[in-house]
Amino acid sequence: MSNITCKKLTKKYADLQVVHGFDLEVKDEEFIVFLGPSGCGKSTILRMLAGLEDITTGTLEIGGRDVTTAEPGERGVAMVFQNYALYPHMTVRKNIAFGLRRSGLSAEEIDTKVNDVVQMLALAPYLDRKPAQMSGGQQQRVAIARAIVKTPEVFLFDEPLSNLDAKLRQQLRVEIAKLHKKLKTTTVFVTHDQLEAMTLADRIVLMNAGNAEQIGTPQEIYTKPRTLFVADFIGSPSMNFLPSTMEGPAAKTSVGILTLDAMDFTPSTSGSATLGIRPQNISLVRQNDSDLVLNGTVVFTEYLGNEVMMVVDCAGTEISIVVDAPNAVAEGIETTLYLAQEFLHVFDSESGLRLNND
Amino acid sequence: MGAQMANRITFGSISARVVLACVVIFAVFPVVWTLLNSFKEVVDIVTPTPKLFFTPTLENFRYVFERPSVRLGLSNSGIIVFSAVALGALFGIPAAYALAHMKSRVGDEIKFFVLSLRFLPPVAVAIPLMSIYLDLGLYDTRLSLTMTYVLLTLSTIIWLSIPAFERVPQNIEEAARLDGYGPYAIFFLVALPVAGPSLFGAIIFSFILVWNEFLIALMLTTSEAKTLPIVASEFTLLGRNVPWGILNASVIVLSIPPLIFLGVLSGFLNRMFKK
Repeated sequence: MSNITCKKLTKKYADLQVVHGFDLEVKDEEFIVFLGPSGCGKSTILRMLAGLEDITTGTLEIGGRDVTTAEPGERGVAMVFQNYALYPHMTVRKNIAFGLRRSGLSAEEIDTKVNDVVQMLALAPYLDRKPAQMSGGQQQRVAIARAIVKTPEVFLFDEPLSNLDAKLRQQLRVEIAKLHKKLKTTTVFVTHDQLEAMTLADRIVLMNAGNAEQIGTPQEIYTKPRTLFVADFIGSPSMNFLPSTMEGPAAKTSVGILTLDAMDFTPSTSGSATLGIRPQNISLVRQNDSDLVLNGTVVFTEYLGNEVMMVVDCAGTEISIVVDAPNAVAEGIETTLYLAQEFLHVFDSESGLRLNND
Repeated sequence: MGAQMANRITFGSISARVVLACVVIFAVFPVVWTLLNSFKEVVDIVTPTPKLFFTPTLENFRYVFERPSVRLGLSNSGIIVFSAVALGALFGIPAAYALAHMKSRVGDEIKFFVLSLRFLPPVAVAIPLMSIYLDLGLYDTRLSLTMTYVLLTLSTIIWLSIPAFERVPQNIEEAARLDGYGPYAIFFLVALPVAGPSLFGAIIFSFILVWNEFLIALMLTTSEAKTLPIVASEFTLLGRNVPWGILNASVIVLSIPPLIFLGVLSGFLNRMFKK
């Protein structure tokens, strides 16, 4: 059992508090992704899990053992860094074996373990090279091999794909997913890339300013964003937001009064709410009788291949929508937008909390 | 287009080479002339028209090496400089490693203190040291000169080694911590080998600094602990006619160890300026 329990973790540098009471229960074999903008504290928490940053207050357990103050080498964790962090003066073979030399294994056992991992990651041709003689992608695969060979209880990844170009990034992402399916080691993976988070995670921890804004499966995060921040951060292009004042089901917005008669939500206490809808949930043809209708003029289009992103000016407010390429409308043409109420989100403008009852 | 570019490069590189050659001749000629003179008889040196071709003689070198003062100076220089550099490296390199990791005001103050050791003119330090060593009965001993030189090598090695350790990526040492290694193991197995080439340069630099040192040695020694630069300078006092050949030969003997290391050092300087 290699579960991780974080209880009220905080981190303070002199006067600056960067993590505020972080709680998380990671189940055995789970793949957790910390996602958030830069400076949100996600890397700091990962480094606290690794033992590279002291925990100011709170407790941390890995596999049921309290490791709050344990040395990094005693926590049963292995880490992969953004800049690979290979030992530049050692060959690939020595890099991978370096961590095992402390474990009291015999030379033959170390060789066997190293060879297994080398096989798994197809690194055999590079064994006698130094890191500087390899591409970034290969170096990161060596770093992953170095982590795997220790058979740790927990893998920690600190933005491991951020230094790679787009194509390699995707390849290695798939490789990491496959490795997790095979090894089933509990994993915490930090990234600012939502695509990586959505594709890899069992659960995403969406971080904002030192707090977990929402913890949930990729699907939950995407379809039921708990707050405005989450709704805005996840999804591409970003969700459309319409600030409004509410009177019962009627929402007074800059694009006119929208009657939310087919929605179930708790009215906001302040009376002001923000409506949110994803560009993909707006259609150019009516799907339901309850669809909300907006009229506007296309002001900008962006060809994405099989889809087109259109920006539509509705009474001075720009709404972006994504439609299948053949259905796209050219710039300058007037068009009608149909917003499906089942995909509409209502947020309290003051607290930022989502008010939908689902 | 291709030919034009080739022409331009050729023209540019030729003019650069001409300038470079002039500078090299200007810098190297005195050294070459000294080398030639060290193989000449005095008559060939003092002739009004400089001689490029002459019958070489090893007489000057024989004279230099047969003098007991030169042998003593050579062994003094060897022992004192080697000890001072070894002690400076033994204490300076770990100190630099610690300072490179000390990201606080205290660390900055210590770094500045180390650098400030090099601000004082050597004479200002040598006179008080002279009276201290006289009181302790250590004046004109290898021990006292070694101790004094350690002050120079230690500060130089610390100051040059701090950037070498700062260039070792922090994540590499963190990876070693996660691999279960303690601070001493990380220093010896990771930081030292990675920073090694630059540290070697720092050691060589401090060697040349104390090998060539003249002023302090002049003030702290009179006979027993005289180093080679002092002995060589005394050749100018041999009688009324300056023995040019012997003087040149002693300069060559003095220059050989630093010259050997200079080849090594140039690699280090390249590394420093590349970053």
